[in-house]
Amino acid sequence: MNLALKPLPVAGFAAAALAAVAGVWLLRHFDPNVARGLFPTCMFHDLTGFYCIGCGMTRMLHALVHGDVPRAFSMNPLAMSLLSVSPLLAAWRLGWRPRWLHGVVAVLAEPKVWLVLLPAYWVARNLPWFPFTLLAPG
Amino acid sequence: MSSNPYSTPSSQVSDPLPPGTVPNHLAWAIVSTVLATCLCCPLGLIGIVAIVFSSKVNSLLRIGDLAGAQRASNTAKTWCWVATALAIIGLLWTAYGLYTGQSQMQYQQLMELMEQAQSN
Repeated sequence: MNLALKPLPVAGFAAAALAAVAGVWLLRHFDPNVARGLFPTCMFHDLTGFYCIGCGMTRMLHALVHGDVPRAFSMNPLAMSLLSVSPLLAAWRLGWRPRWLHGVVAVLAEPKVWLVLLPAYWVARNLPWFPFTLLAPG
Repeated sequence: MSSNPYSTPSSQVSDPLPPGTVPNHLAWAIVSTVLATCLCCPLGLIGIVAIVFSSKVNSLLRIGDLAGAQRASNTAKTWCWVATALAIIGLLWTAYGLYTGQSQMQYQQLMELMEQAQSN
């Protein structure tokens, strides 16, 4: 727990908090759903026409700061799921380690899981058939 | 791993070490890969290399190869920086596009809002 007293994590936390405030402010005032707006579009999608793993993340956050959780989830289900567990992971890092969280952390901390999950998600969101179309933004 | 007593192992192999003894930079690798691909270009996919080396850190720790794990960790870190650099380039490129008027209307609107926020 003495982690929080070191200057570097404090500076990092302050920077992250500042970025979060700026991000929320921008998302409250600008809409990433319009074409050629303020927010950058995905370069991978612009160049290839395919969705990448991060596609829909800005629209997800936009929906989230406007309180529309189902829409946020539909924009990028994987990113939304990870965002949901991230407070638990942060708590884990700070030393809060309940028994039931051990399994979740063990899976998420295994690099091989990501080496399979990320490419699989990448391909799956671009498949034009029903269960997979849910993974695409929108 | 062969157990030939006459071969000289490249590094000390002993009991399994707990994961986390050497940082594998997994979270950084994932975040920088996704951001580099979205913000910069499909070249951002090379961030996957960082995840591969993260994976190597854990498997080397499992066989107790501390020196090897340390090397894999450093390599993972290098590739994380490559992906991070691509993400930053992409972000600057986007900011430049915004500045040179690709979406001047939105930019003006942003400036007006900032002025409003300051005067409040």
